Amino acid sequence: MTSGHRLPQAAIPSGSFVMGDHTGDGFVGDGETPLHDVRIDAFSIDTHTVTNSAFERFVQETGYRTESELFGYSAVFHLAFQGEEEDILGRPPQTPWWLGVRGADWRHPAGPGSSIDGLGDVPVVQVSWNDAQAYCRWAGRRLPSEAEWEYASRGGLEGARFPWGDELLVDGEWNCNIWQGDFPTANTLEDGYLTAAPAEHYRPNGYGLFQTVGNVWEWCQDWYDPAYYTHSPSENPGGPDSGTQRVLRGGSFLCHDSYCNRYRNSARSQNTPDSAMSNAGFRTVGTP
Amino acid sequence: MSIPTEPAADAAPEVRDCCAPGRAAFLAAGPAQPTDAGVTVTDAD
Repeated sequence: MTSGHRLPQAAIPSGSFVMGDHTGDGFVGDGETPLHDVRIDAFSIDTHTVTNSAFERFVQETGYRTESELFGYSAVFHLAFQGEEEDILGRPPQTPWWLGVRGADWRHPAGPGSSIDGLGDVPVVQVSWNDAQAYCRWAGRRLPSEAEWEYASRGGLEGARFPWGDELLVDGEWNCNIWQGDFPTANTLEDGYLTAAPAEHYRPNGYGLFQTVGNVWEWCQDWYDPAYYTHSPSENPGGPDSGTQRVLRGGSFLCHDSYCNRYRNSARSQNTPDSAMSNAGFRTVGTP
Repeated sequence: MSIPTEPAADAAPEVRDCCAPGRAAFLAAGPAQPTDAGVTVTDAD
C-alpha cells in the first residue's frame, strides 16, 4: 500500500457466524432477522474509524472536497451546534434535534463556529458514503460489507449483543459512547462524552477493534434493504444489487434506549449516500 | 421549539428513530437560503 492511509489493522480470519439479532432487541422494521448462517473470507480492517488526521492527509494529497462542502450544509445535533442562528437552514419536524447547518463539514463538524483543532485522533464525521468511497479509492481500500462489519464487530463471540458480551456495563464501567440521561435534551455524560470520543477510547473487542458500537455510525458498502436477510447468500453476502440508501452500522453517541437501541452488533440503519452528519464516519477494509 | 423527550406511545419505529434524516430533509424543513457553495437551497414544498 503506497497511500497515506496508515491506520492500524486487524487481521480477521475466515470463518462462519450466525448473522442477525439473537436477543430480540431490534426494531422489526430494521430487518435484523431472520438469523442466518454466513461465511466470510479473511480480510483486514482498520482497528478504529478513520480519524480527522487521516482524512486530512487524504484531502491534502488530493484536494478532495466533501459533499457537505459542495452542498454548503450538513446535519448537526442541536446540543453540539456552534454557529449563529442564521446558519440553521432547517429542523426536520420528526427529528428536531437535528439541524441543517450551513458551513458544517468535516473541518467544522458542529457548525461554522467549530473546528477539529486538537481533535486529530477523533473520528472524522460529516462525511457521506460517497466521500468514504473517494477516501477508499485513495487508500487502496474499500468499505466493509455489512456482513464483514458484523462479523468483525462480534470479535469472535457468538450471538452476543455487544462486542464484549451481553451486558452493557463492564465491571460497572461504560465501554462505549452512547447517550445517558434524557434524550435529546440532557446528557449526564457518564461515559465521558457528549459527541465523539477519540477513536481508540474504551476497550477493544476480541479482534482488537475499537468502538464498533457507539461513538459514530459507520458506513458500509451495501445498499440497504430491510428484507435482505430473507434471501441473502450465505457466502460473503454483499448486499442488494440496487437501492436508494446505504447501510450504516454500530450506532453512535446519540443512541439511547428511549429512541434508538441500535448500539448493538446486529443493529442496522441507513441513509442516502450523499448524506452526512455529525455522528457518522467509516472504517476501511482490505486484503488480509 | 418544543423538543419531545419521549417518543409518542403509538409512534411507528421510524418515528422513534433518533438518527439524522437524509440530506434532502433539511431542505424540505427550512426556507430558501443561499449557501456557502453559491447554490440556492430551495424549499421542497
